[in-house]
Amino acid sequence: MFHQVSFADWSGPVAVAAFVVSAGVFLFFLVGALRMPQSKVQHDAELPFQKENQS
Amino acid sequence: MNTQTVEYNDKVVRQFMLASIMWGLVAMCAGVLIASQMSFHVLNFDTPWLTFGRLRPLHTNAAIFAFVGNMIFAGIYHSTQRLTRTRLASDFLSRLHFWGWQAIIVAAAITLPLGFSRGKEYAELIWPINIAVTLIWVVFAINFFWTLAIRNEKSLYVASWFYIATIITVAMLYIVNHLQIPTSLLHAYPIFGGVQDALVQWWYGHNAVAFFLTTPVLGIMYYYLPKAAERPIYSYRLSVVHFWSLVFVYIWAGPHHLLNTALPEWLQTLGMIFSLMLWAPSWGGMLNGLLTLRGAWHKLRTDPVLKFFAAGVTFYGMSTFEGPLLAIRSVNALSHYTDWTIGHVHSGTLGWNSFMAAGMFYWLAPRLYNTRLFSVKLADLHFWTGMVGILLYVASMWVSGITQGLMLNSVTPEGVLAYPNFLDAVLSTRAMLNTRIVGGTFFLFGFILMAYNIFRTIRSGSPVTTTVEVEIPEKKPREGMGLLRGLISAPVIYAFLLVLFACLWGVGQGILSTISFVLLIETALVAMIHMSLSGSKWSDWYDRLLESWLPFSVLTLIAVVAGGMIQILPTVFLDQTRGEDGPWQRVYSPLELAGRDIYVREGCYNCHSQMIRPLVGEVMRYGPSGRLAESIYDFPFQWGSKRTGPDLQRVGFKYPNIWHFQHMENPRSTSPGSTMPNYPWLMRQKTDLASLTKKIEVQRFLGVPFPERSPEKILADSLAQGQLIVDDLAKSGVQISPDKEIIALIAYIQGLGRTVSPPQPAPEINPGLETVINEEAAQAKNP
Repeated sequence: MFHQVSFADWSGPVAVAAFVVSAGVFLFFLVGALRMPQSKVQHDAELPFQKENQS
Repeated sequence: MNTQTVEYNDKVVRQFMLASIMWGLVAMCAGVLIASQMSFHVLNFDTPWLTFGRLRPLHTNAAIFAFVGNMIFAGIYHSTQRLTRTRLASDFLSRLHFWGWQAIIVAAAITLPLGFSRGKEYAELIWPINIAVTLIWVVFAINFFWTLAIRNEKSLYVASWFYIATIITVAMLYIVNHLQIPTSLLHAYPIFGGVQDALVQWWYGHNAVAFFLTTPVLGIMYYYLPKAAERPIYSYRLSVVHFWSLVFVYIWAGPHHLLNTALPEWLQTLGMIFSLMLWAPSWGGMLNGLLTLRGAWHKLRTDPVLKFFAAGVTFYGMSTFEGPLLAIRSVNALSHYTDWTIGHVHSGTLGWNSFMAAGMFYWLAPRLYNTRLFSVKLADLHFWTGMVGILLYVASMWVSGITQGLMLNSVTPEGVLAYPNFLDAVLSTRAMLNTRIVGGTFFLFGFILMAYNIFRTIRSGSPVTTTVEVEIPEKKPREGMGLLRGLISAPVIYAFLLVLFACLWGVGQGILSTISFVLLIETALVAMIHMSLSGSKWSDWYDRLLESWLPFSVLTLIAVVAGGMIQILPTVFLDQTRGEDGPWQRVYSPLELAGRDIYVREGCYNCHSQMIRPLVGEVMRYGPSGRLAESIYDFPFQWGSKRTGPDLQRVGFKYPNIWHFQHMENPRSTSPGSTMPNYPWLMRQKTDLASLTKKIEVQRFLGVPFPERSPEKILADSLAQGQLIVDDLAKSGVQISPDKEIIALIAYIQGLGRTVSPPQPAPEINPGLETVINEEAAQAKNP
């Protein structure tokens, strides 16, 4: 059922588009991470250490 | 400001932890047994449900989905509640998740030894269980995201991101690789065949390692390692970069499992490059974990938890160094199909997964039961026996794998194979296989020590209730941003435009490419100026995005779908035979198809490949390298990933029928020194010919050009072909009826490698030629 459609004509654009989209999301968050305020970084890094009670 | 007391649901955490330990014991016992079967064939006991081909899938599935699966659920549920300061959203869903998952494991433990298998590694479970897995995963996802939606801590810690990526990506991978059409309640054919199936399978197989065995455990590392070391993660920014790099890169690397095969070369190169890129984020993550221990290294002497975590993270670094190394095509030519890959996989599962699990359990058990660890000395003994076990295992597999690769590819100066008998390599590595058994037994012993230690710890305490005081503001805290607001905003619009122009620049021609490049640069400049003018707003937007699980999840999905798309779409719509002027696969006869299903049921693909690589040694040993069109009718593909026995792609008519009969009855009678199990039941059991009508109907729907036959004709043809084999066997004194399974299997094996000429391509049509063709056609009709 999948043998009728050839892909060679559009595999190149798909490869480039997929790479650019992935790289775009990655770079987007990379820039965001590098620009995070120090206070926010410290707050988030401390999240595992919140107090809890056991009984 | 009001306060509210939140009581965590730790019952489900305790349940998952205990289930993980129990199933871990099962998985490791099965592992030691099948490792022993590789050296001592009598341990197959001539019993169908105890043979290597059926137990190996049980071992891998139990290790991945039962042991590590339950472990990550325990870790995710425990840490998520603490990181969100919220009880799990639904107790009912938590219970359903736990018991549903255990029921799936039990179903797998029953069906796999009985031979109900899809014939795809780590995806062997049959379709009703696949549906159950999908439903329970959805239950897990609802419970998790619902908890995020009602959380009392607005920030999402990086561990939660790893959990989000796991849930989304595993769902996508699992669904795509399990698309199939049932032929009965217990059998189905995948909708992909040949190279399509190979690529979908290894896109799934590789990323099952990435997103089931790695990302959730990294999330666990980012929560429990700082807790155990009593200091925050070394660099929180690096953990963010680590996360996005992994999500971006990992999903592309699947084709490295198919290097030097008939897979299109551009895909092999793609897989290799992205695998090499994985070095950077993996080592970034490892170093971030190890540097968290700065100033706390002295604790390793006394704290078994930190000892396991430090070793686990180190093994993560070692195995993620080795993985890209093995993905280099020339290295892969040596390592693939050998024990080296087995050693690599186990340095990850034993060193990374099992040690991280042990560290987490030793940390969790005393806290969940309000007591102290029963014995630190026992935990230390567990650590060292486990460590010795891993080193023995991995080192022996390295030596064995390199020996196999060198021997099987070795050619003398005279131009002939140095070791023409495949068994030479098997016999040469026997000492290493025995060393592997010792290593595995050491590791199992250490795990038993942990189970006992945890059991005694639990008995000395009692389940504890954990609560937390949460401040409830008058007004509900700002909930990040909605999906629409998150995605339709300046940063996303700029990013979209940049991606669009980059794509047009990359794929456009002439003026379009030039204009796109100019627009790309201009947009980047405008975005940078805009960002510098409204820096605080953009930072605020980014912070809020990280606090909003829905837009965050959508962006994660986009990243993994984009990476997957490049591998999946071209192969789904690939015309495998386009441009193929070499041999084509011959359509199986009904009896051969029945034999093939027996081959899949017995798990022959666990030891035999059906893909000859274009390497000198392989071509001399097995024949011409495999081509795309030679497996187009294989649903599922059976290229394999390990050669404990020789490749079978062109084994048809290499040996007479009687050789195969005797070989299946007792492999040592034809191949002295072979470790293959005996298959006496194939001589007794009747072939399921009745199901062939439905199976052929499904395969025809999938595109296999089976000629139309009535059920009676299918039966008659099968028995007629079987009779030919029976008559031939009778000349050697073997009396057997044509409806026995061994006859169908021999028919299938003798058909392997038999090809036909490619059909003539249709003439190209153009306005001028069309008239000529039509005239020729008319003349042909009316000569």
